[in-house]
Amino acid sequence: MSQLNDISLVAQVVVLKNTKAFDELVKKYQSAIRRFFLNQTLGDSELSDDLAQETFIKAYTNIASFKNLSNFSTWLYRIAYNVFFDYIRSRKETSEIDAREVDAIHNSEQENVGQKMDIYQSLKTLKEVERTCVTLFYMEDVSIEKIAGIIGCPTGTVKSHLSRGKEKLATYLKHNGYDGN
Amino acid sequence: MTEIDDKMINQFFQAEKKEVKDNGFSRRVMRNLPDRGEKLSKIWAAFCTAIGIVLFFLFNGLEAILNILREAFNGAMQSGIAHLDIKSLLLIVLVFIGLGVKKVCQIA
Repeated sequence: MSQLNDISLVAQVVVLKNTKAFDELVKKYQSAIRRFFLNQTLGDSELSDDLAQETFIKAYTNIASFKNLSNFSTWLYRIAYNVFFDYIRSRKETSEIDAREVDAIHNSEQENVGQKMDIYQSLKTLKEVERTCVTLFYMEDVSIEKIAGIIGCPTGTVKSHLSRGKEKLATYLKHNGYDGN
Repeated sequence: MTEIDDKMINQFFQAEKKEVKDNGFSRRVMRNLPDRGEKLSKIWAAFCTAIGIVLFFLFNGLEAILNILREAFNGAMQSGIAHLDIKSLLLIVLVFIGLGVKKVCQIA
């Protein structure tokens, strides 16, 4: 039903240039897309909102290329993933400065280990692609097949990323006294 | 990687899953969308203006306007300038000045 509604809204945007229909799509998916970016950027809300806005604008300008071969949400996550990795690539020049900043933050946070269980601290232990796979799978309930479509990898590769990510997270959570209760 | 670990991670993420409130985000996105309709209407307006200018000169529009003005002036003179209502004339002039100022402000 939801998928049919999405297709109807997309058709209204493409054929009738109905911006109100696109507004409905933005309102429906803004939370999921912004949460996706919050997880990828480790809680940087300003950057997340900028990247989410860029994602929706790209979705609007390329909406005619949505072929309904996948869910609208999967298509949107794919754009979001590309926007995020374009951003990462554009930041490569300043990666050394970033690495120093991350180290500084990491060192200061090590002092608080055991005091606060923060999702972004746990996600920091993962590589970017592992973080994407883990958050899509566990938080957004996206299937492995769909994650493979989003990040453009075979399902086997997604399973490997998930497995490594889960292993690191389990170690981190246990180390910090989290037992799920 | 045990099943217990899997369950633990699942519980951790589900507990951390929170709705992100809109707080004007959708409005900001809609405001920043490229306006395809406006672009098309600008192209259409420019096209119509160009056609209008070509037709104006093709059918000798300048002479037609001058003839109309001349006839109107002659008509007014014949019907007698004494019958002209000065107040109405002044009101019309003021309305035209007002419209002109408004248009200039819009363009600015």
